[in-house]
Amino acid sequence: MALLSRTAESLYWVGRYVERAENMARLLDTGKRMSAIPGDSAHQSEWEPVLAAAGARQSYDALYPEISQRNVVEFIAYAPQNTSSIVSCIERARDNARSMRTAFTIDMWEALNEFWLELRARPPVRPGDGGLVPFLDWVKRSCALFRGVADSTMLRNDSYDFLRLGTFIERADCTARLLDVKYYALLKPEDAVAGGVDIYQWMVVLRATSSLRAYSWVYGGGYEAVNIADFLILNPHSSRSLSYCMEKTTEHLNRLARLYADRHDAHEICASIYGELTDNSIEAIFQGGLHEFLTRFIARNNWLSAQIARDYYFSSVADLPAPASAAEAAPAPSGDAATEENVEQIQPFEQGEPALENQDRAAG
Amino acid sequence: MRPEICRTLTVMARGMESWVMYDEMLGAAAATGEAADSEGSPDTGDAAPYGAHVRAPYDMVKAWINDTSFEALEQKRREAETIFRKVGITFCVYDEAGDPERLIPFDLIPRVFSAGEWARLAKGIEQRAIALNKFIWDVYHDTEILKAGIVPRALVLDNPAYQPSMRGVDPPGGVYSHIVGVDIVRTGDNDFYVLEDNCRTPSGVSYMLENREIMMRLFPDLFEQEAVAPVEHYPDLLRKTLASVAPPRCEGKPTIAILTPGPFNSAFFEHSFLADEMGAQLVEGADLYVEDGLVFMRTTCGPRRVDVLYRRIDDEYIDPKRFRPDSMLGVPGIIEAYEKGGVTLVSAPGAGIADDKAIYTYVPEMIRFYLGEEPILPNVPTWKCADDKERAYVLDHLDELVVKDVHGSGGYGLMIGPHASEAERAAFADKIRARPEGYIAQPTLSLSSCPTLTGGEIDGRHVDLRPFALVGAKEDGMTVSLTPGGLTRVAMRKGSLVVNSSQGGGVKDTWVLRR
Repeated sequence: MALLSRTAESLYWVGRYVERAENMARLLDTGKRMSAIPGDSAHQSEWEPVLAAAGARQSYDALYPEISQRNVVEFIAYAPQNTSSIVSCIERARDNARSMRTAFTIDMWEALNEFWLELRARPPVRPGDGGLVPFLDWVKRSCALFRGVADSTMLRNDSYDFLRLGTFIERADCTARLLDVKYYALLKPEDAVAGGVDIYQWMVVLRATSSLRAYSWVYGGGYEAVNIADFLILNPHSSRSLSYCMEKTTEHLNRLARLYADRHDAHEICASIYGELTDNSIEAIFQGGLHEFLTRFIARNNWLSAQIARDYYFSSVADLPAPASAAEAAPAPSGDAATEENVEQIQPFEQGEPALENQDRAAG
Repeated sequence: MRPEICRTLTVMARGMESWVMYDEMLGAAAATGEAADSEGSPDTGDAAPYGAHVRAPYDMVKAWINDTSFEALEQKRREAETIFRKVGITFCVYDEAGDPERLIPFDLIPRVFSAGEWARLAKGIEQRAIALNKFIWDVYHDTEILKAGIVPRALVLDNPAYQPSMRGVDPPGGVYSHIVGVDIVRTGDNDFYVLEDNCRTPSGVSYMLENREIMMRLFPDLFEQEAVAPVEHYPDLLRKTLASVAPPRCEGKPTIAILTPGPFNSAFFEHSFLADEMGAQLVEGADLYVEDGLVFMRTTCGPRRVDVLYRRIDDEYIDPKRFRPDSMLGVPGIIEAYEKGGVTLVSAPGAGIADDKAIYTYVPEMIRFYLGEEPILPNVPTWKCADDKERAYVLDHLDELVVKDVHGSGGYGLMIGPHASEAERAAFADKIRARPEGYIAQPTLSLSSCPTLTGGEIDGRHVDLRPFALVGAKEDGMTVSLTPGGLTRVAMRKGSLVVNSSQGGGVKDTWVLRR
């Protein structure tokens, strides 16, 4: 039986929101660690890249006069005005889940609902109360629990495929953003030798993707910019690499094609994006410009997301960008651009789905 | 939305001389002995096991309670609460933070009907469900019952629930109301009354199913002898009923869907539960559209036809093209598709004309008129204020009657004479004189009570019953399927007659004995 498009769309967004919440927790964790790094950088400046990687600098500036740990934590963890804050993500994931309970297993519903209930019940973390790291750990655990029960209790049907498509498209987006924010550090190995600060930054990138240990296993230690980029972009064994995410996306799209006996444009786009990863080398990517590569990837990943919505009749199709412009996403200016400019080039996250608005209206 | 699960019952007059409590387990005689009790409920006490005076249908319950320590019952009660809280999260998802107060209290002690009692009730319910559907067909076709002067013309044709656009429309099988909830109260061994009919979208059936489910889980031994008639086939019967009314343009096996207003609706759990149990799609208005007089749902494989739509949305919201243009819940053009045989709406638009409180008083007449039979289940005696003589009686006896606004629901527009002050009664008398056709009056009834676990003891609490009659089409007319029992609602507060779930009303498993 075909799946209701609204249900497929909700599953897709539940996958994205839960993944996004987890990545926001990782980003805050990163910021916290970087602010503890000894060195010349003032504490505040370490929170700037966190905001940039969250794709939320503009909406942050509209709310807060200055960058501080307190404000950034409040904004990324709690702020209702930030549609990608941890609280917003989990609330919207739960709203989506609630409207399609029959597509969820009991365990999935309970994991998500209890997450949401406790998130509301917990007092907010305050600076200096030592609560931030335990809070972020709890968020990561709760997201992992949801993914785990989904994995172990869901029927392997189209519902599962849409949930997982959301997970991996979101994860690829997050990894690419994180790398893009840090690309300048990866491009100046000479500074690393001199100051040692960049090595910390690279380690932070790896930590933010929970891959510090995995990296050491694969490359036998030693932090090389090329290896770190390779690990997070091309390495098929890294669970957060762009390559792995696109492999999984391909797998789930192919499963849908078999189930529905129908291939769509999304399959072609996905094959093209995946091909650019499998047929590439990290040296070639550095040569062509890491930032340009990542910008193009983010744009094409968004395009894929939009095409999935179109091909499976999601209700948000009308609001999506036309494919032509996204396909030919212009490369960004030179790789030496200052951080502040890069911040502006990073597009905001793809926003929520119109299905939510329908629900709001239904409440009246 | 009509808050259907939340409805205020007629409230009994305390201290009326004629008042006699009827306890379903103990019978009238045993209860009368306790009638002097200040709260008016038989108090069996936890120390005194039930003896010989228990009515036969309750023998099994008697043996079970006598054999089970109070501590064990309390523990099971807590266990039930835990299980329900888990499921109850789903009852309450539309509440902020899953407020546990919105869990509907579940009482462990079942309410029991003998096979004989149920056989009579079932006949009466079926008779009523058929007559109501014939009435609706009639008022949208030849209006014979109006021509015969049995039901006043204006009461039907000027009624807000009457849909003139349904005139001449022929729903499959002549069925308008496919799920009829007939609310029944008991006042004695052989005394049952119909309190009201629900012909649109009666809710509560999910509780009926969940109550049995939890009882079988907690007390499997009670069900081992197969003495209790099962209820779990209800979703299957519902699916068959819906399939039987497939529209003329349906090709092949009909596709069934449930249309919900969405997760914020108080009955959303039930919509979701029934869809799951029937294997039907649960859709919202935005999932559907009309093209070429057919209804389609948007799926990941493109459009898919919907043939039968069990809509849990009121008439006025279902089609912004026909009714309220501001409705976001409905499907534009669906009424036209319905009229042209592209889809069947369950219940049919305009079916609400049959459960209007003013129409209710004529149901016994309908049964005689359409079926040529005497009604098996009587109405609660009702005075129509539109009638000069009856109005005079009502105005003279305001202190002992319950007066209802015929279009009110959920306890609005209700005056309980014995509880009202002199000034309130005078004010209501003015309202009745100003708009007599808007009011009916009924005597205060003494509802039966059932033994119920209450904080620390077993005590009588008042109950009512909502059975769910399914009306489907067969070759030469209508067929009624009835699941034995129904939903028993219980007023958890001592002496209260309000089974309304928003005011502390609870639910019980309802047993119909097989022999």
